[in-house]
Amino acid sequence: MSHANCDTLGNNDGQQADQSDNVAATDSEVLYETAIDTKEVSDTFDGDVSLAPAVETAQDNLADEVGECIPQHNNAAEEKLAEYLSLVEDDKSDHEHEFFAHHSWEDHSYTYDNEDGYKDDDSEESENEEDEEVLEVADEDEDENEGEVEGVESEDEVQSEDEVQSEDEVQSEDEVQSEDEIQSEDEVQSEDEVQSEDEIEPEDELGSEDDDLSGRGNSAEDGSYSENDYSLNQPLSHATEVIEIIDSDDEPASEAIAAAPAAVPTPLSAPAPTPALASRKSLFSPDYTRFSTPAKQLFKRSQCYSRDTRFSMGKTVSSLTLRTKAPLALEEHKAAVRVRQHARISAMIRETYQHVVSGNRPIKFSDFDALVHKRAHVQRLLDLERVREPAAEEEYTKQTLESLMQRAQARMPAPEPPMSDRLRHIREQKAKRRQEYGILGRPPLPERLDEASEETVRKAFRTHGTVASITGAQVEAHDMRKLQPGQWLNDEVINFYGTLIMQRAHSAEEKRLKGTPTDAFWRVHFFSSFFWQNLTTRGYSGVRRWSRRTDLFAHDLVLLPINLGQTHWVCAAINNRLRRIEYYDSMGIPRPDVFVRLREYLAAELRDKKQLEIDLSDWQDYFGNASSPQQENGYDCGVFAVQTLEQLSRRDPHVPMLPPLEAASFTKPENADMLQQLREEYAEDYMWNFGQHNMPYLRRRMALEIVQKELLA
Amino acid sequence: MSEGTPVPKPEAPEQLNIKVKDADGNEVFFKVKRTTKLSKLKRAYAERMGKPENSVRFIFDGQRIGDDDTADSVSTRTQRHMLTSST
Repeated sequence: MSHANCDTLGNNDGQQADQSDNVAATDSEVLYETAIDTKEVSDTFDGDVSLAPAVETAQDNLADEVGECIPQHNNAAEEKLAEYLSLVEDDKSDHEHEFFAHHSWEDHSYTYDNEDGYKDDDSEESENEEDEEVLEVADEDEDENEGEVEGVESEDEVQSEDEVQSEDEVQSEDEVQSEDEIQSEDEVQSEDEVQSEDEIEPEDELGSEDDDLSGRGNSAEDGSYSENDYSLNQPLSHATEVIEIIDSDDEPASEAIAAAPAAVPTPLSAPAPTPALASRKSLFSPDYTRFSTPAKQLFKRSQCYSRDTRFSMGKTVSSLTLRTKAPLALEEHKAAVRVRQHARISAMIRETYQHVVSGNRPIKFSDFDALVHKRAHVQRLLDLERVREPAAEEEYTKQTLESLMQRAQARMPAPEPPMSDRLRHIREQKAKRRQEYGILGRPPLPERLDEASEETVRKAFRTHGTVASITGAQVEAHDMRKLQPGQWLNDEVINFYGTLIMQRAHSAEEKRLKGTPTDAFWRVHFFSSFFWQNLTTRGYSGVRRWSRRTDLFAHDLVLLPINLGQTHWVCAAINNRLRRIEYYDSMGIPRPDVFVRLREYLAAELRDKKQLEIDLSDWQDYFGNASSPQQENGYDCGVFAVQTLEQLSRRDPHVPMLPPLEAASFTKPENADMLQQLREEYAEDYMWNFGQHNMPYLRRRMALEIVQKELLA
Repeated sequence: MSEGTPVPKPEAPEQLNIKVKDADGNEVFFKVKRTTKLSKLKRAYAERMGKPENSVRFIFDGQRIGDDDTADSVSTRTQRHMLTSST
């Protein structure tokens, strides 16, 4: 429905003048077809000026022309014109409307290709058909144009005006307003528009070649006219942009992005919403006022975009039925749409990146980009797992960007909930200890390993075959290489490291039993990454024997790494001591089903091993997103997952160790005050002593620890 | 990555029947000596299933089976593990 403007002012005005009954409806990059019913006068105006200097004169011209053209009996239209023109004036200094321009530019370019040229011809033709019944005109068009399926037309006719409008809504809001004007003024016209839109959609892929246009029964004049105007008078119009993308398939999407912002700041490239329009389209009017910050703008736009996408998808379906003649062209069209979608997503990412980075330490753009894509991918996987209808890819990218933006913006501490003096005292004590001894009694991580250790690591990376083997885990050379920068960790490394965590905890427990005060670790059990795989694919029976020789309920913590779709590592913990199921994701994606599954597992486990019924009523589902370290690239998730587990296994050495748990205690709720106190003392407000900046060191350190088969202090 | 669960059955003292189950629920049976390295078993299994050997992991009761492990070493290890982890 949006038809890029082939008429820049000069040309168009001349033609309009000839047709004294019609006022050509043009608007930013958009030509609305002229009214066919000459009794009605559409009152949309041209706000499009691609070259700033030309603006004022052109405007004046238009004003004159339009003023002349408007028949005397149509006062309403005149008023609107005046309103509009005044707004256009204001617009020049109003930066908010630049956002509009951006908006409409994007939406056009993504949903609709160079339908413009065609559209234009259409309308020109309609103009030439003097005072005909509109539907007839449309029919002729159809017939001329490669024998469109007739049903389509009637379908469109059936659409009420409202429906048409709602379709418009799906497009871009700014443009919609002026378009709606046309429609509401002239119903016939809107019908016509819809028609041509449906025709156009599949036609796009045919490109903007002249012969294509002439093949549609348009006069040569029309064809050349639109072509020339693209190149000469609309250097920044989206139509030109789109053609470029389509014609050169190999053009990288990034170039298109780069071009996108450049096209934005034409001050008058979108029609300003007049108050009249706003009230008319009250649905949208609040949105305009919200374009005050770039962030909002971004999200607003992405919303438009997603709606846009749905719309275009729907249209693709209809175009399939429509146009069996050009399946190849349809494919090309789809490809072109994909290219533009990617370009758009990249632009969104770029924008979010600017905001995220401005508040934080600098992140490499490539890392951020990879992170966004991976996170969106994982989110999609999770939805698939939940057997939920997965949304479109860009929907996830949008969600991801929003969430990253929120994280970047909201790094301020949450308001403290009211707490008793006793709890406050505990918290203060903890803060004091942290001040004095570091987090969990540890000094901050160093920048790098010492030279001797570094040499050991270098040697380890050169080793062939098995690098290290302990009971229950083994790391080969090719697994070891995963610890080099930028690599994704595999299950062998993760499981080896987790086994080391468990062994350390076990030996600490042994020492503790012997009375040697060296430990600061919880009693930990570690399940390998296959635990989650078995639990999810085979249910409890798949892991029933896993704890055959160990009493899970005597442990404070059960740690388990989880692999998501061979793409992402996260981790979970069953914290028996604090009675909570913990879930940590270095990309911060919530995942409620983990809690459900682990609760079910706990119940089944206690029933199977101890013949007791567990009471999970005071168990907490804890998603460690608020504080847990977050990755800033697409490849460090494995390190984050195991380091999270590693730190979970640590205990503050300045807090007394608690006696082992009894399985029987799980059958009833814990004393509530006790539990709260415990959580406050040991876990709430958890502090982490590593983050993204420690990753290079931690990878080296992990390599060292694996070779030495022992974790460092 | 496929993962199997060999389950030694304490029948004959010398030979064991080992069942390998993968994540899809497929089962393959092997007859091995107690002292045979389980890496051989893994190789045979991988070959049979048409998978690269290094993509196969054998897990027994949640324990990863190493290349040098035998049925004997796995069972004694799990017992030892039981001792150390009882707290």
